[in-house]
Amino acid sequence: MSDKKTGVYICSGCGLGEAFDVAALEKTVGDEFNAALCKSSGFLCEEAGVNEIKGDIRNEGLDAVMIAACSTRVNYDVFDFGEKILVERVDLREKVAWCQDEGSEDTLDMAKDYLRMGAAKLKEIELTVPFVQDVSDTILVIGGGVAGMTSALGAGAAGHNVLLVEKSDRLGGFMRGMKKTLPRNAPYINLEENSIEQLTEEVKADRKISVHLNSIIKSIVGAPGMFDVTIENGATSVVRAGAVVVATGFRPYEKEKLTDFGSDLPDVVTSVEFEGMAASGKIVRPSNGEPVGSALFVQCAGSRDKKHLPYCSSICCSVSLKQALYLREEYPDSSATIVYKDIRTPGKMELFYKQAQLDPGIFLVKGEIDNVTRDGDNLQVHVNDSLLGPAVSLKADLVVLATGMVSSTYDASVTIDKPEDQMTDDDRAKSGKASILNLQYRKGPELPHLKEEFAFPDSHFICFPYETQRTGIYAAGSARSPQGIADSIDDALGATVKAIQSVKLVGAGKAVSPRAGDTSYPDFFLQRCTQCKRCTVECPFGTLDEDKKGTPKPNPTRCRRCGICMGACPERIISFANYSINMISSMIKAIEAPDEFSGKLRVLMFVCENDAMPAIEMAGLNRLKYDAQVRIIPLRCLGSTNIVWIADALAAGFDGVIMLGCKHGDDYQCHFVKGSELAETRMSKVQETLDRLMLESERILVESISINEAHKVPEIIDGFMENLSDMEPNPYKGF
Amino acid sequence: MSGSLLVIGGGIAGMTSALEAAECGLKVHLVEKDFSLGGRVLRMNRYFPKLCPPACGVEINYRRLRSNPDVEVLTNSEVVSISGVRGEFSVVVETSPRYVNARCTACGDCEKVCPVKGKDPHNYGLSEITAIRAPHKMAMPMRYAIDMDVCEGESCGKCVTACKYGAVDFAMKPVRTTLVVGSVIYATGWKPYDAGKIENLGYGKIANVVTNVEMERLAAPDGPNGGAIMDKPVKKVAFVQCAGSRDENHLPYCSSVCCMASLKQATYVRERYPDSEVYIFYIDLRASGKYQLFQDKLMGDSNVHFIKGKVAKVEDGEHGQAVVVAEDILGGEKIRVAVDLVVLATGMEPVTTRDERLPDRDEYGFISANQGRNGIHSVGVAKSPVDVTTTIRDATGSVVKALCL
Amino acid sequence: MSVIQPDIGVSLRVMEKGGDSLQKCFQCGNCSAICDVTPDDDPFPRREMLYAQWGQKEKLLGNVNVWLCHQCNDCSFHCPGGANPGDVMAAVRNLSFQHYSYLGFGRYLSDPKLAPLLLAIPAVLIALVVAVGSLPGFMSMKPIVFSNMAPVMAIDLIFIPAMVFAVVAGLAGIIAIWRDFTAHYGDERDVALIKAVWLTLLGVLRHDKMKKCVVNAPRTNAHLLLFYGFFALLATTTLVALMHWINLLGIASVAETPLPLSHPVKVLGNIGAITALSGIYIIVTRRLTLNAKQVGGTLYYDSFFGVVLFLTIATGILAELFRLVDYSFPAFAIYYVHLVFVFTLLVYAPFSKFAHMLYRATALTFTNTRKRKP
Repeated sequence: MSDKKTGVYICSGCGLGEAFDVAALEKTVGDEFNAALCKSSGFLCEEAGVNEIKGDIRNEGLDAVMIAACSTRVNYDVFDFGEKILVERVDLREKVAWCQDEGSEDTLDMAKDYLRMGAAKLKEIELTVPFVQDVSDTILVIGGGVAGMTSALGAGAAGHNVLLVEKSDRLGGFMRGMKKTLPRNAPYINLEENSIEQLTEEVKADRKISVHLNSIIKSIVGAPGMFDVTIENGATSVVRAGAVVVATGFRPYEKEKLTDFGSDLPDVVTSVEFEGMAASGKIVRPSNGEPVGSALFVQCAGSRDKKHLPYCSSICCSVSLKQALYLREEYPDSSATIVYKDIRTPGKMELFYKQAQLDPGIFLVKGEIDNVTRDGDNLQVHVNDSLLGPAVSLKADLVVLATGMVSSTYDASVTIDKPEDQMTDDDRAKSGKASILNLQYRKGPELPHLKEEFAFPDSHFICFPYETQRTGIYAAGSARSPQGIADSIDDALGATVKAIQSVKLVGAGKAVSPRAGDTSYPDFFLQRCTQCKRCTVECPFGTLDEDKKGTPKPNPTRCRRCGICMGACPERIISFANYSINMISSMIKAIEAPDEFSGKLRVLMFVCENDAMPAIEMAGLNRLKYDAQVRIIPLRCLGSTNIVWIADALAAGFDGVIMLGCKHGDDYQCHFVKGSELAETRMSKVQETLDRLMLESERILVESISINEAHKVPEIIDGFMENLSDMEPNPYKGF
Repeated sequence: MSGSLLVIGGGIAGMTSALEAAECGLKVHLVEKDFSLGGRVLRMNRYFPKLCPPACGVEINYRRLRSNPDVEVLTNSEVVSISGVRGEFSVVVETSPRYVNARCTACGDCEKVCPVKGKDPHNYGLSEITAIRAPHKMAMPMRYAIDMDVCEGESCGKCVTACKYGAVDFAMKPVRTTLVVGSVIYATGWKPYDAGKIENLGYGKIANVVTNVEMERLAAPDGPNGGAIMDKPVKKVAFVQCAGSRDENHLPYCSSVCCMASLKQATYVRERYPDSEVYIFYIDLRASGKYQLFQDKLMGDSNVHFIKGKVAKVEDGEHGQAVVVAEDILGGEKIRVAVDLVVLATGMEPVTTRDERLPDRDEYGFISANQGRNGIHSVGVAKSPVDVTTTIRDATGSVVKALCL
Repeated sequence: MSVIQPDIGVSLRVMEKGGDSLQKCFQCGNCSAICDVTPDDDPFPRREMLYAQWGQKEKLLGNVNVWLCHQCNDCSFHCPGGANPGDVMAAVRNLSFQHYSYLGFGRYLSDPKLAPLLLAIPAVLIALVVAVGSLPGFMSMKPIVFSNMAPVMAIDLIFIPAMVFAVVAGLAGIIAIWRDFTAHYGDERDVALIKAVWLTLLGVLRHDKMKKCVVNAPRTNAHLLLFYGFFALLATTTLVALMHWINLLGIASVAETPLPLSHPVKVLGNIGAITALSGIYIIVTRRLTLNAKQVGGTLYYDSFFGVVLFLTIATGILAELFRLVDYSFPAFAIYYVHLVFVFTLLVYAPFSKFAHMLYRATALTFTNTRKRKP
């Protein structure tokens, strides 16, 4: 803290004074740190205590403050001294006093080390200066269906210019072809008039929205706030947009693939074809144009089916009930039969189901469709395991297949000719992706899909449904998950808000979720770059592009500030103003490692601050005790771990390293997608190195923990210590 | 104040609306009735289908709140009245006393001396907690409060003496504040349907009949029994779907989350007790959309039995077991299954608020979606019974209406 | 592979006959599970609800479960869909009555428009008896003796053939339904028929099945009162007729009508009448005051039967009272009406709601011939 004027404030309240000798800490500060002042208080968070700090800042001209007290879980807003003052909270309460033996020497050592680490950190960090660019606040909406138009109107009403790009020659999408729509208003039992025309008129009348029909996106170059969008419409034009909403909708699952359901027979139609007939005014048998006396609606035709779509298309049950009502309205003597696996009319749609069921001409039965055959002039549908009997046959003039939804972002014809296990991330980024965005990104032109078997560009996060892997680009409606009109409208607005928010945050040089508001960003010292491309490959968000030589081109507005690139870089040329390789290295080096004769082990713990750190704090709140030889360093993401830190730790005499992060795998909880997984991969390489150096690879432990698993913290730490105690001390101690 | 927004309800919906709005540049007042933000989701063990802990997302939101000066949080507060028009609503908020002031450091000394205990609402009354306490370990704000229904009052005063920081204050009075805001979002959420009303299912009468929300606590590592579900190894568990939902005698609508909730809870049992057997009694399994894959995964577990047939009654069995009676529709028989634990998949009812004049509610108490033009909006389960991720999408999208003023 | 064709006509008829809530069923099975009367291995009424919705007439006729249902209404009371299976089963029974009734007469008893005609037949017949057979000046003869107006011989001349017709009709219905039961479930018996009949008789006398009703539990006792009261009255009537014939044929000399109040047969009759009336009272007031979900809907043919039964007993008592207080005109007039209702009740029995006794007993006997889970 040579160049910063730092005040150190140590609190002795909440049992801290009993846990360790605060005077001894003050002495350490005095002896070791070049602090401008050091004070202690029995009640630091009290107004008087805070005012004293404020006074010191004013009178002494402090530019950094170290608060050695509690965690930020309490009084998070108390120690706020404005943007110009660096504040480092050293948690001596949850992380020391409340989880260690009162008054023991080890506890005091631990507290001292945390002070040293805080001081080292303060020395290395700077106030952040946001990366501010002149950004466009125009929202590009791709797709002119109900979701796209809703999004455009929302963004327009919020004051943004909107580019609405539709590939067909008119607005309206699938909804345009609908006779009526499902109930959205109380009492939720009546079909509603199709409002698409009104919506279209509103869009056309909105001067904020510029509609591009017959248009596709040729390419998108740039980054959030500065996307240069090439729109092709015979001619090409380039326009600038700040954020993108992908609302390209769905397409029905291919009818040709449903021959099991008789899709090759003339009087077998899809629900989309049926809707078309109903909307155009006449429901007839396609084979002969005759009226329909009986129709049979086959649910899950291609959905919930491992041979076709493994998922449920969520809307087909309600749609079939709606279409059964169309038929009954047109032909009062007709019958409409619905064969289902489960009737899925969740929420208030249940009320519509019950209403439709009241029609005595609508017959419902659970069963599994075996096949559909022709029987003279009629169709015969064979149903197994039905409630009417184990094997029954139902006759119908017309069979309607409730075919499922496939995301328009999915294109099965785009394949990578490699077995699944040999595919790289880059291959996956291209495989199965329809050409919609044409992003000129290092990591592929389209939004990543959630899973291979579930080809929707959905968010992986329940709590953050718009947290896509491409900053500033948000999918909505049936393009991103199977959903109907009502949900698509809500979803479109959600994506719109995120797009607007992205433009605003990016414009102010701030990160978007999950580190929303963070004004730091990665700085690349490119002179030393060796073009190894690890950063560009490992960034989960496609932030970094490459020039021809392979030098990364940082795009700070795409960045989520996780630091994965920093962890990846072997040359250690990537850093943030307030988070860097040096900062952590200094913190490691600031810790006093006991010498080999003390009989004490020393363990370093890198902890992801998203879930694992709160779990450790919660362990403190619950007064769970764990070994006193562990020193914890929080990281933005475990993926930001640079292996040089491990080398630093071993060189500094640490006997072991624990890496505590979030769960990875299919149901990963890592907020930066691959951070914890990458950390584990890197550590396995370090472990190999350790083996080569004749050091036990068990000295490094990578563990995952969930936020509500505070009870596992002592288990993990103490278990690791026990394993370590069977080994010799780190032989590099003292070198 | 067109650039400002009032969000009523500090659960996941309200927090989301508040944060998304604030990150779009609006000034937001977030009003929560309880002592802490977090709402219902914080009492859940895991989310479906990822089986991840809800506290994780709440923590991220807490962090967003901590670093965002544009959200003003008022806990222990209720909206008393709303007047005025879109763009300029005048809102009266009453903050009830928590009898612990801002000097509290959450050190817990008071809790140690508190002589009285009451049921812990965070654990749905499955455990006890002192009258003065932190609402729970994930509380925000992390500040103690006194439950006056349990507290013996100032005459006891042990906590006053124990607190080194003078934070306990029995003289606190309700405070009314008037806020002026441009628009209002109701994110008032839901409460579990009262299972006691479903007479035949034995809740409150037969031992080991619990509701699904209680099951979340029983399976939670930070719950009343450390996640062990019962105080003995669990061998057989029955999940009773549509306990009060899809029922004209109770809630006529489908609560939409219960199927997935029970499938998820089946994994709690199966994970913790590998030899256990789970029976899921359903009318229709409503694992819509991609949730189907989660259902398929469970259907691959031969110890999970899916029985189409609504449970009509739960009766006392031998050895402390309960017997569920249902028609196994696909099996063609009426069956009686004796189990260690019965979990009633009770549905969601919208929470009603103190303010009677606003907003328009449908006959079930949900706040109608179609009052969008007047500056008052509803999101999440205040609007209709939906799951968490749909709630959050809705809570995010509604912000656009507040931005449009 | 059976071919199934939904038949809207059948389901509409079920709806018209009181099963109007039929369409609300969503096949949850709550009804079958809540029902304590249903056997476990062939639970009802969930499946019957589906058959009714689909108008599967052939699955409903000859369906023994339709008759095992005692309309406790536990199913309706707890039905989450509001589909009232109890009423639907009653409606299906009504249609079955009509189907199995001899010569299809059942449908006349379910048609309110025909009620005057149905009553006119006995009214005219009895009036003929009075016109032809009454002693001249019977009105002023004291003490009042009803056979002076309607001689037993003449009455029996009408009643005996009519009853023979009723019995034949009843038997025809029983045989028809038995045949359909057999067609549905096969004819392998696990239990001898005679034993099955005995089991049925015991069950009926004890009201075993009906005692399992929960939400409509008070009805069971009321029905027991009515049941035993009615049989006491039937026994009284039969005994009186027997006594008359014993005297007439000179087999022995027994008491003649009018019997003194203390005569055991008279005592039996009076107790029977009061018992039956109290049963009717409870049933009717429950039907009038309680929610139809709990006690079931009331169809025309239920009411017709109830009213005829009530009036038969009530006119019997009134006639007796007027006789005792010696008011000739009202006594004879009411006795005439009484005879009309007795005829209506007994002769139309196989076609009216009364036949539930026949068909249900047949169904119980049929199920008693085979082992089923309780």
